[in-house]
Amino acid sequence: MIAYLIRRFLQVIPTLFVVSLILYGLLALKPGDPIDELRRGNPGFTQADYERLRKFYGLDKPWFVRYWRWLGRAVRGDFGTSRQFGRPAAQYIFRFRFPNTLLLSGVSLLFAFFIAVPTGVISALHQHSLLDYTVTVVNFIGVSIPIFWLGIMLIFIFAVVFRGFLPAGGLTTPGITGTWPAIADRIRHLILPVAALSSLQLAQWTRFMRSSMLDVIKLDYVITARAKGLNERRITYHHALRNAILPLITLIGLNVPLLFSGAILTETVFNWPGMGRAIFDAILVNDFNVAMVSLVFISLLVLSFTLFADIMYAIVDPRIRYD
Amino acid sequence: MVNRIFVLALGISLILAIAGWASPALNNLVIGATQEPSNLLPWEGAADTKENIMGIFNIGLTYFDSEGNLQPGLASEVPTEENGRLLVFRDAAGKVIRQEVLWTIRGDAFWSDGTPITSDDAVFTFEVQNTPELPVTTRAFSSLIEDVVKVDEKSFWIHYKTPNLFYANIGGSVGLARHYDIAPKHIWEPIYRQVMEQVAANPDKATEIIEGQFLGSPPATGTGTVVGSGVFKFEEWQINQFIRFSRRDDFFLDPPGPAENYLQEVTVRFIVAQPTLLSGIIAGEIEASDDIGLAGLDPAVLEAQLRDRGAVEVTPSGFIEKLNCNLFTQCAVAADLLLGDKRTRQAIIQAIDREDVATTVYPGAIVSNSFIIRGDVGFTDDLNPWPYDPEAAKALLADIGWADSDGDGWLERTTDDGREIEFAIHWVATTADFRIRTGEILQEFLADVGIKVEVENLPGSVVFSSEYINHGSECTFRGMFEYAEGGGIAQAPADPLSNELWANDLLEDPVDTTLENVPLPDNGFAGTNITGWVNEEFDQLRADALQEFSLEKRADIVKQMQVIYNEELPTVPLYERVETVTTATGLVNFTKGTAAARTQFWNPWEWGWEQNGAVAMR
Amino acid sequence: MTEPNRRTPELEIVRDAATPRTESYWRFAWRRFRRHRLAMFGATVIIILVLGAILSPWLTPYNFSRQNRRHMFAAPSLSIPDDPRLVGKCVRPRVLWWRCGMHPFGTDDLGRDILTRVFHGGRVSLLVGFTAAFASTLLGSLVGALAGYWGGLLDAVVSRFIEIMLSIPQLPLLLILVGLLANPEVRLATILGDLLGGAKSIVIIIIVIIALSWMSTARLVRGQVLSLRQREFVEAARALGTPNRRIVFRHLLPNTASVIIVQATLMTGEAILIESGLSFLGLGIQPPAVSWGNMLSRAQGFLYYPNGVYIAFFPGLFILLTVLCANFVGDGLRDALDPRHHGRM
Repeated sequence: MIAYLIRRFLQVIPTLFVVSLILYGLLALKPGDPIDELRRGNPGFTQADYERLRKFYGLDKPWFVRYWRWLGRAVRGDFGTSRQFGRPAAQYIFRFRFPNTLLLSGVSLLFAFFIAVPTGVISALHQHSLLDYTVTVVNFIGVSIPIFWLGIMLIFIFAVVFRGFLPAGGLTTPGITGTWPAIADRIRHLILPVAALSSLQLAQWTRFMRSSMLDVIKLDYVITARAKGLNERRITYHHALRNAILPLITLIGLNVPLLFSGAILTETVFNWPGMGRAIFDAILVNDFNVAMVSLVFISLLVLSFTLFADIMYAIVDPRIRYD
Repeated sequence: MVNRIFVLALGISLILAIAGWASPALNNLVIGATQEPSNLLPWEGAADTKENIMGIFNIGLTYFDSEGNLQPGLASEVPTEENGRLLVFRDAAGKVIRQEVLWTIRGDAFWSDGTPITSDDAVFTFEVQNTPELPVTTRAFSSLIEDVVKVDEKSFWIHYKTPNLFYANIGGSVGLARHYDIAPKHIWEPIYRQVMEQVAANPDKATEIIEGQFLGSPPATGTGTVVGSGVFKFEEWQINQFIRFSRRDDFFLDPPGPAENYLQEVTVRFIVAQPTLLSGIIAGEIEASDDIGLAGLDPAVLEAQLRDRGAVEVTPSGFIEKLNCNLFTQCAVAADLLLGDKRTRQAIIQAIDREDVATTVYPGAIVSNSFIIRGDVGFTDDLNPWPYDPEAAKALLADIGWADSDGDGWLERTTDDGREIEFAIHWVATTADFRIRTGEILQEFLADVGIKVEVENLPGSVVFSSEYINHGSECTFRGMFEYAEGGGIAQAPADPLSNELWANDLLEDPVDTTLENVPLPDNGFAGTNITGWVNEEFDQLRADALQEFSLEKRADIVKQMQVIYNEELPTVPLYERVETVTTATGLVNFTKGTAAARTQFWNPWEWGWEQNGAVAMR
Repeated sequence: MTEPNRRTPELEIVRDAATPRTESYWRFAWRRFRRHRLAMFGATVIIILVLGAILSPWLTPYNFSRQNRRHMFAAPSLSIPDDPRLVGKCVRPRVLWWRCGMHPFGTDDLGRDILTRVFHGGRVSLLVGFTAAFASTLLGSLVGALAGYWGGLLDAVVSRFIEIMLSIPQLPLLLILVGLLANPEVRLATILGDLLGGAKSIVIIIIVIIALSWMSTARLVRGQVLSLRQREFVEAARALGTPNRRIVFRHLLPNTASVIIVQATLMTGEAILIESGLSFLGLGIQPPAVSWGNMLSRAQGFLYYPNGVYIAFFPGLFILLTVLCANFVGDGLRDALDPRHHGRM
């Protein structure tokens, strides 16, 4: 099995190559190129200008030639320049967009985790109680609710109805000076997006924690430990919880890449300048370099976390054999 | 235990939230914009957005004020024939063969780092503009310039080889830089020389070098020293977030009263989504909006939401929203619908209640019947207003040969070669909210006269790509293509910037019959006349207008052009768009006034808060 | 199936190890399902919604696209305005208690009745949801079962393909694919456009959702088949010389049936959420066709308009309701069909 895992680890790089090829090809198939943005905004743009710029950016070559050139530069760490912003694409994504998504997704993840675990545990311990039923129904709603609708409703309540109580989006308010007000401002801007983004995760993880906990409680060794007379709390928290939480960690691991690419809906609703939205915009205006560097990065995340999840699965369930 | 921690955290956040609510008030302004410029390069870039930002820390040779008068900016005076700065040379036939303009820069014009602005800057700006390797956005005007000649430190001649009626206008039509005419040589020359050397040494890497080191240079991306000619100087640019400026104390134009009473700092905040922008305005975080962000919003709703917190200004935008019809005979689908027959277009315009459309999707917009906007040279109201008259429309369609033969509510006719076709017309536009609504409204109106409209909304990057917009003859758009374009802002029509209705360039060569401006296979699909309309009389009038330096005479010619247009209707004009701008209570002089000023950003030195002593002048 | 009369030890193992799929099993499952209150509630609501969607053209007095620009942004109410101009045109004067002029959910930004549009939007959203879910589950199950059972090259190729496709972030991939297929300059798109006309965007969405969802089902089924394959009853069946096809279709698939059925139900909810998300971003169902998702895409701009929030509130509420009920049913089915998996995701 170790051999299998090592093999999987080594497969990440070739998989990334194939992924980048597929992505570049798909993007290139889309008609329209970055020059058209210029053309749209400039009334004086003539056909001669268009041809000139096209040649300048090398867009008159077929896509696999362009892909090869991109690949050659990418393996050296040069991901090209963003046609939209004139900056290096990698720098644009990783210095200006990724940290925002990291902040949003990270806080959502922590928020969801620290609510899901205790709620799931308590729910499991008091199975079939009113609390348990309420939690179950709320969880169902959480996995069923469209995130962007939840976001819009939250904005409506907290920004429109309670005029400006919480901001309707954006990262910060400009002009705030001083550390404490700045932190407070950040938190204000985080509250609604985190509430929306974490809703799905929160619901899923609570359910999972609950069922995981239920399974573990029924295991023999717990009954044995109880029979031995150990303190009830010790049993739950130290034995059951530790075992119940492992599958949850696995699930979270699989979900992490989702939090990065899937945040686009939340980022759109709340005008959060994050990576998800950057990808969407880049695809729409054919900013190849930005789209490629972020997509390849997320693919790398997915591959890494899937591998991580597989390792965790193997630890958790030794019955699964990989051959 | 965990629950208690959670409650505690929630409590702290709430407290902080309330604490963070109060923000300090300085003599500064926060402007909300929905589009961010890609860079601060003076020679390149899309029109509106970047122009606004650049206008905060730059000023051009001239500028239009809110009454539409051209004023000298960096220049000591506006060149005219009267003051001898404009020289026009004609040949025996009266055709203009050469034009020379003398500019003198003001003695007290300095860059924001204290360096004086000189004619060396102007010469250098033109040199860069003319460099073929650089991705300069357009050479429409600079290609008219023969050379720029320095006279002394502050004066220079521009020699045009063909007439440029807009030699003193703004927006790059002088022919130097696209944005605010003159770029700082002492900042850009080292970068430029280095880039060009490297390009000469490694021609196959030209693109990367230019992209990385010119387009990506510190002054362009705001990561280094950025120097400008305007009243504010650049401070910092946090990409996707904001750009900040602070006031200089050595600017040559002064507002009434001490400069301390006016704005000391300006921040432009980038908010991509309109609803977020709105909420920021209503919450008071955004104190003014730019002219693009609130497009299509109902000013009445804005006012209701703002109440006493601010005011809403509605100004003409200089753009006319219109339905461009596909008049190419090569496109069979469009030709079958007889779009080439002017009666079809006249029927369409009468079938639509344009007043209703304008008030519903773009409150404040004014119905237009011309391709010139109100207040512009030659605009006339003396045209057929084509009122809403579905009966007249039906009669016209019946005249042409349409009839509802099978009673299904849609018109049919038999073509010359015996085919039976239904009147189903394609309508395409971008995915902007107000256009989506327009499409649906048009469907209803035209259905009432028996025309079926197939609505298609595509992203701007698709429909404005040349593969799409220039290939109407190949049926990319096959009916009506709705978008807005500049209706000639204080410029005569028939100029490369704002009019797509001419076909043959009779100015270049009166005898030549090639249609330079109609995109067809023989000219490589070049040109801006995307409807394919050809009218010799119109082309001749255009050639005449482009040589007419006298505004009154030009206005007459333009009026005649409008009469032709109004009768032929190659494009069906819908409405003149307006811009909706909000300002917080107390903000003065942040106004556009007329379309000629182009934006609210023409007079940053006059912006201020009344509470702080600024005097309201406009 | 094995004949009940022959009682050899191998067949005992075969019979006991595999959960018997006799008729009494399904009836037993149905009884368990009936006891699950939330699931029954969910199923009832879904049936009502589906019926409403199918019958929508006859259940509303308005045409869903008829505009009434004099009465835009009307508040939800059951009263009829006095001014006849505000009433607008109706297809029929009344349906039961709903008379022409009443707007129980209000009107939208062009004066169209929101409740009517919710009905019609439901047709599209539910159609997309069910079709995409069932088709993708079917496709995924087949591929997954075959890959899992036969192993070897087929499994390797399929698994690698799935792994590569799943490493690409799903939502951006959706965007790219939709952009490709919807773009008029791509050949395939024009073919589709000519064939389908207005229904083009619906079919494109269904295709794209299937294209990306079948893989997770395939993985799931493959995993199931893999673990079942090593079980004793399969080895026994193989030892007895049962042909492979029979093993797959008679032994393996029925054992995974519970997983597949549950997956299909849950995928319905997923598909509806994906469609509404895409339409919200502007890439899904295009106007003039109406779906719950694309009603929401324009709504955000009108939150500040008086009564503008209702344009957003109702479609989203129905999305929530439908997906919620689908999840209830899925959960109930999971409990009923395979009690060993009780409570687990």
